[in-house]
Amino acid sequence: MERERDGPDLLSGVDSWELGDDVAPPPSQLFKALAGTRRCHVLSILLDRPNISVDELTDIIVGWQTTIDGPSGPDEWAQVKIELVHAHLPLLDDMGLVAFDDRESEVHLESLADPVEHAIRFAEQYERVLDRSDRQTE
Amino acid sequence: MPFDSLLEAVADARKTIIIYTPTDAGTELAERFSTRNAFVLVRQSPAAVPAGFVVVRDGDEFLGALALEDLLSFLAPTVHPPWELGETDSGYRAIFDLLDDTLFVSLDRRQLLATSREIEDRAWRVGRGTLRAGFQRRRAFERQREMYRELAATTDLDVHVYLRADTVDDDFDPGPLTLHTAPADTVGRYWFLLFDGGGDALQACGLVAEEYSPDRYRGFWTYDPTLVATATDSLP
Repeated sequence: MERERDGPDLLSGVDSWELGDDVAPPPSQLFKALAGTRRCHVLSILLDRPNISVDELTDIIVGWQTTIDGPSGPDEWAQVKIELVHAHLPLLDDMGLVAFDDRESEVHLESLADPVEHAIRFAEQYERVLDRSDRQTE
Repeated sequence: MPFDSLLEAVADARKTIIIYTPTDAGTELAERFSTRNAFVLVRQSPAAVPAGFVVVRDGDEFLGALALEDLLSFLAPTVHPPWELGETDSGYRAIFDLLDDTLFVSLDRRQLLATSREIEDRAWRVGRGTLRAGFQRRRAFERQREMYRELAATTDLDVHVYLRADTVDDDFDPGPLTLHTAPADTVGRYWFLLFDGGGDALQACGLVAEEYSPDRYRGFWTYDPTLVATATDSLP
């Protein structure tokens, strides 16, 4: 049986996507980058704030969490920053998605190819849909 | 140090409150915190973050964060009656802890009442030491009178009450409370509550707020025993 094809077409305009000189890692790497919620959040934040200090990035991630879990203090903040500095940011840097220099405490988003940016936004929207349906079934 | 100098000192040692909102609604909120604009920063939160939140910092040091929604309900609290002391919500307490030594310029009676409950609650739990309460108006005291008598009668707390001299007549019976009278321009302008911790500095806490226009207060609460002692020293 043929599947319905009149749903929202996420890939409209796909033919016009161009990679140019922008960063476009192989699928396995891109999906690995998006495989962790925290890394997804980092990339989503960086789309809006391409140059940010690690401290402010940590503020935003911890603040985001408080809108779900309630107030948090310095211990949680320190834990998030350690994970960012020692795990997530070096991994995203290795993939070429961000430039991260631990000594400068700054993160910069590289110029991403359109499909990569779409994938990040998709992951972000998908999480939001799942959250919404969690709340409805609670 | 008189109360007005104390308020200035707290304003100088200020924290930074950064409000991240998806819209520019934070501007209005920013006005609630301080006389100085630099005190509160409002930033647009990244589009991916579904709701607003607030970060509190002291220079480079992160002190805490909370949802903007939680801060708004904190600023317009449901005041627990004194008979429910100890029922205080833990989320409320976390916010209360986070914002101590912060000078708020736009507090109303409801917020001050909720803060007073926190201090009375702590004094009641410790059960010893000295609790000092200033009432701007005689009828405000009358409303709390039974609760304060109960506090003094059922614990080892030494409870001192400060009232305007012109509102206390000769047949006023303070019961187990110690009464102090003061001129209208001191007690009449300030809402204060000071607890010395009963020998445990970690339990000291206090609230000092000045009514600068009808039902509009600027003030702070603190867990700093030195600040509590300084405020206590200025009392008549």
